[in-house]
Amino acid sequence: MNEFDIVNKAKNRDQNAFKLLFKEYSPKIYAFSLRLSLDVPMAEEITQETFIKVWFKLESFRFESKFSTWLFSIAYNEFLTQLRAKTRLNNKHSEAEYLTYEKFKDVIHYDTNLDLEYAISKLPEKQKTVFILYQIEGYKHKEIAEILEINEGTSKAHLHNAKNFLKKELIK
Amino acid sequence: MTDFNNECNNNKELIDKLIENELNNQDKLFIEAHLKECNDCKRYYFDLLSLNEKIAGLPKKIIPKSNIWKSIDGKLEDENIKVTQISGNLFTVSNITEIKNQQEISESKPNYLLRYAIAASIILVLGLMSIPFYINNSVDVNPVTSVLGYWQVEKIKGNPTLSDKPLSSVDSIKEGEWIITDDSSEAVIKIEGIGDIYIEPKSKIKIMKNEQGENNVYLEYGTINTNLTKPSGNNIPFEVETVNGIVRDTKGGSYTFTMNDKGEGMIFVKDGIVNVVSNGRESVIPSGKVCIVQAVNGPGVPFGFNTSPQFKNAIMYYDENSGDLNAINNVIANSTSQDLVSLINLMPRVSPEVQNVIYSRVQSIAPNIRIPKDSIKFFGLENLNKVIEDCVENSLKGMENLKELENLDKKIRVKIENDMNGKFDMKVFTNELNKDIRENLEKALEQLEKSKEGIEKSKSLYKDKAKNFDFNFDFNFDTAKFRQEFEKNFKWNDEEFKKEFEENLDKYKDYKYEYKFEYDEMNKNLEEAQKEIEEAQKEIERELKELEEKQKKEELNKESRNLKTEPQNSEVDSEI
Repeated sequence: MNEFDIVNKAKNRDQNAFKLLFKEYSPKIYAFSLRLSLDVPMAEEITQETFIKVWFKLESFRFESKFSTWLFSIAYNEFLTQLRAKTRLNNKHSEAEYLTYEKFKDVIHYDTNLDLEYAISKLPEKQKTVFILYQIEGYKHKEIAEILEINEGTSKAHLHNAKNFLKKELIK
Repeated sequence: MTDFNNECNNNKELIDKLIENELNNQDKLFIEAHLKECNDCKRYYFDLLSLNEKIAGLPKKIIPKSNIWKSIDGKLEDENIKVTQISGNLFTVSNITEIKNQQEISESKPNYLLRYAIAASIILVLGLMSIPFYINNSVDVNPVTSVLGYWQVEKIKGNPTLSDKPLSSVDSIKEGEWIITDDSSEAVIKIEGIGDIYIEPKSKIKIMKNEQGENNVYLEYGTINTNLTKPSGNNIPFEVETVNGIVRDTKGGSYTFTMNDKGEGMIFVKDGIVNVVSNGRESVIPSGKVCIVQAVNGPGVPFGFNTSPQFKNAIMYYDENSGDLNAINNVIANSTSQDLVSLINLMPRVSPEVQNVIYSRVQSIAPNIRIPKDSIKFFGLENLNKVIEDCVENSLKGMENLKELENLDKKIRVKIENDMNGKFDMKVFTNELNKDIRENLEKALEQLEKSKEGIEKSKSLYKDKAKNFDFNFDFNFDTAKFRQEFEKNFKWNDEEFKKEFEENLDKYKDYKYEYKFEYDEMNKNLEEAQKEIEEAQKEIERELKELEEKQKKEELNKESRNLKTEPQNSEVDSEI
């Protein structure tokens, strides 16, 4: 059964098919959310809310884009929603940009290149998003433009700036 | 760090594209040639390659710390209920909705709220169904002549009498002989090929022949426990007669039957299926079920001993008021899947219209029980045995609950012995039932209070979450204020912020409306849930008041009865 069939089944309220999609994509969505939010509970909530929204909105999905593109776009919007709620609630700046290395290490509960991840964490939000989607998730600029609702050119520029920033950070 | 001259700065983009494999041949040849000559660009190129290598080693998938599916899964099942997308105590709300649907099925009065509350607080739910027993669906009454000598009576303890004489340890027993046990004696009748009948204290029993010439037991009052094997050869039912009915065991099994001298009684079937026939009514009672026999109305509709007191009450009210449509609605409204046997027993007693309503209820709570819809209009006593058997068989798979049934049987016997003073006592039974109902109602009230607290918490949580979000602020017309608001929270540099702002203005607008919509929806749902709970509370309080009035009335009746009997007693006393 290919992904098209699975998505179609899930569209027809097949929970087993939906669980397959969850199994495949939830670790990716969680990785994406955690790198963006640098906050484990928030990343879990984003992942959870994303899949609940997907389940309830799946009927409206018309295969006009790849399923994964649609999924990441929902996750990204969910991230924005939660980030806004968090910053409004705390009435302060998003912690994501100002995590100390010590705090950062507490967040990272998986095996990885810590220095590189820390450098990525310091990227401005938009550059970081483009960088993760392009370099880690393997999306094309056209798809990223679709997910983030920006121009392809902007996506390329963000990636270029992100890489330059990372190079500088890692050489420091 | 790599520094570039202006010319090389222009080449950076080409190097990026080279790494991403996006260059045409001409540009590729150009940049490759340039890299051989320019050390800065070469370093830039290798730095980028090295960075890419490191990036490639980053995990694409990260397993979350907690089990996210678990929290999602429950919400998917409640997809019709929007509120359940919020976390927290809102399962309460979905239950209320579910009960609403059940109300639609049963078309009954809105007892659903009460039932929801009760369901939430009932702890004892035992799926009491029997162990396998022997299958035969008809009552075959071919007479077989029994030999009286095969019947023996044995003393177990105390001083039971046989025809007014002390019972020896083993005696043969003949037609017409009485066995009487006092407060502390017990006996057992042993019937060859049929089984044993234990006679509890304070009982009076006679051996007699039935219409077919078969030996049977007549219970005048007291309590018996049977332990009958499958009759060999023809399936002759073993019958216990009483002043107003017959207890018939066709398949062999075990039951406890208690009756007082007014003809009121109760039967609990531990194993097998027993029929109680009286006054033109018949009840089919499989293992785990209880049937109350009333002096005037005969056998009632059987029910699970551990079913909700509300359901028991509804059944007993129906037994006394069988023509009352409200009574039947009340039974249907309070029924759950463990009350299947009761609903099926109701079928032959009601009109075809009501049969249809019960049929819908049965289908909704036990879709695996097959009663062809066409057969409903013909549903009579002859169908009853068969359907109950099917029903029991279907519920049997994988169940081994003989021990539970034995425990329940013991509990019932202790109840009869201690609380009912050895014989069935309707007053004790109804008092206990009322007590159980009161306890359940009070638990339900407690539960509802907790649900209300939960909702209050959810409301304040969402209020907190949204407190800094200015829903009234219109982004369309005051971009300066929007920016000001935004800058408070996002530390981007000016240029970048401007770019972001232009790119995303529309999205933020939509986003604001979406947020407001969700917030409003949520609040609406919470308000509705709160209203439902308040209605349920009112309903429970009403039920409690009704119960209190009923008990007062019963007390008054008791007092007036006592007043009537007292003068007679004093007359007797004075005569003595």
